[in-house]
Amino acid sequence: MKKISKAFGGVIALRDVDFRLFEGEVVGLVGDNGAGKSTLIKILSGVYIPDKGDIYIGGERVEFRSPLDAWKYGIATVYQELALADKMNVVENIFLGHELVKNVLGLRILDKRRMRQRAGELLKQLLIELKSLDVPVSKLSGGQRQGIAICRALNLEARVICMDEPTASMAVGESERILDFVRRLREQGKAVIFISHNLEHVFRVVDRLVVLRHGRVVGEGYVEDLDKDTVVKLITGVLENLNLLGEEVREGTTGDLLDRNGSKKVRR
Amino acid sequence: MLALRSRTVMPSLGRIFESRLLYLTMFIGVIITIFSIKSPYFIVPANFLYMFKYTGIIGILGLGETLIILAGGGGIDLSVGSMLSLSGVLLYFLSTMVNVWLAVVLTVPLGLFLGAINGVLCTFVGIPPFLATLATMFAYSGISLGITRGVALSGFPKQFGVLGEGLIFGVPVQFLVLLFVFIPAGIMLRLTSFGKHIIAVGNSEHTALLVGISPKRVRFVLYVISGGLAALGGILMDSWLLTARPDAGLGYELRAIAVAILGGTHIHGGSGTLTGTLLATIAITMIQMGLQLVNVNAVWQLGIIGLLLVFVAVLNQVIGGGGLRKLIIRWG
Ligand SMILES: Nc1ncnc2c1ncn2[C@@H]1O[C@H](COP(=O)(O)OP(=O)(O)OP(=O)(O)O)[C@@H](O)[C@H]1O
Ligand SMILES: [Mg+2]
Repeated sequence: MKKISKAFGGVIALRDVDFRLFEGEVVGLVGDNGAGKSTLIKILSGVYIPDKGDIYIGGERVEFRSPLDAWKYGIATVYQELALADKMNVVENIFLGHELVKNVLGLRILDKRRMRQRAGELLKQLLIELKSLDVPVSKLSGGQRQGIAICRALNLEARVICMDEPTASMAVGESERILDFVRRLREQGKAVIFISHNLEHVFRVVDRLVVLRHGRVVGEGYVEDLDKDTVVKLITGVLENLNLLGEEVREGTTGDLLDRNGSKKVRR
Repeated sequence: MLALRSRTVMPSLGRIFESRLLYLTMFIGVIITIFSIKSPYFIVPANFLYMFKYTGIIGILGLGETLIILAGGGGIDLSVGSMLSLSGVLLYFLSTMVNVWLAVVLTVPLGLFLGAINGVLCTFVGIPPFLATLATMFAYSGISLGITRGVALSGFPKQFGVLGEGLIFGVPVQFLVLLFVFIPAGIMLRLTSFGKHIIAVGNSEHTALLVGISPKRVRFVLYVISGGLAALGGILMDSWLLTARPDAGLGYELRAIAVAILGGTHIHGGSGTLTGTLLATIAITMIQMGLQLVNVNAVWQLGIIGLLLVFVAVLNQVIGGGGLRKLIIRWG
């Protein structure tokens, strides 16, 4: 993503943000409330159209007009607000907008059996236990709801997974599983954007960190070069700017979002 | 004292009311009993047939209304009655030019078009549906009164009456037409992606947008469907009366909304069933017939349906808003 800017009315949410992501890499996106984290990933997932700036995937310039466009490029997102339909059940929520259908007499009829089965598998992968798949999701706990939102994103078999505070309302055990899962996603060669206010979680799971403040990137670096204290200073503005990345990553010679070799080449 | 009693009694009561279909069935039972006591003629077979004939038009309009309300966002179609009248009048004029059956076929797209105008106003233009369809309710009704100069037009060929009056194996054709639209609509709602999208949009517009569903597109389609169904209602009405009356649909918007809400469709959308609407249609029709039998005139009939609607709306508020207990606490 290059030079992304976005304003809501008078509020400038993002200014000239450059953001790069490589396969098999987990990038932490941190910043204060209102720093623009959610806005950035909503642009990447096609929810918002940026006022300025371009998105490149593998060197190709793309324009997302809806989340469906982003899905087509393999980008799935766990939204901070979870995006669940409260009165609909677990299976319906996981497949919302992406229902599995079968052909019956030329009609595209929902394949409820297959969706149920797949939903069960996904929940099992995340070790989420539910008494029933038929309850409306409004009846579930905050952590369970978050699990369902994550299942939805995983179901899409995406290459890039954006997670906006995936562990915010989870208990210790539950968030541990999510962190494990993020690591597994990295092993599968997927790219993950991990947003969290919990710096401990961030440090344990990410490879690289990007700090946003008032809609600008104020700090970037690999976790091994950073410590929590420095990051807090960047988030709060005590430290104004810090960039510990090589030119290749920051400027980007090709301007891609995803580049298989890229991540190895620039990794120090 | 009051609070204490409600705590023990209300939860179980709530559970009964949650099962909409059960209480609708009970409600129908109550209606039958009351009117049977009042009038021995109420449950004679001839009346039953008559009743199913009545269900056709109300049910068809109620179906469109149910879908629109289900999709939330303040969705409502106040113009169904006027669309029915206007379609009926247009059908008459068409039938003077071409064969009546061809005219019938041509009337449906006209209805879809009227619905599409509602759809555009409510979604893409963004006028609140209540206001937009109130405007078109007057507009469509004005047009039908205008082009007929306010007079009822008769002169349909006799054989056209089969839709409104005919029987197949003793079952009124009107009721068959009702099933003919309810069954595919039920399949659409329960077994297709579009059906799930309707419910999702009704649950939360924001959620729908984030998963790539366009609430505007979904709602637009539903207004179009409602127009088509209203045209079907107009066709049945003309066939039944063998006359096109410019005010034929008067009061039908209220009945359509009543069956949707009574049938358990949440006023703000997101939950509801077509079976509920179907049962509510039967219930409302029975009430109307019963009132007819005990000689309550048509104006009062509508008034009573209006009262029933208020009652059900309050009841829904109570159930949806955390039960009677909350209501009692709120009101002291
Ligand atoms: N849809 C919107 N309409 C208007 N303003 C918005 C909208 N979305 C975000 N903003 C504004 O943009 C700025 C950035 O918001 P954003 O949600 O991206 O922050 P964030 O970093 O995700 O914060 P948090 O940690 O609280 O989730 C804020 O000032 C916010 O008020
Ligand atoms: Mg946020």
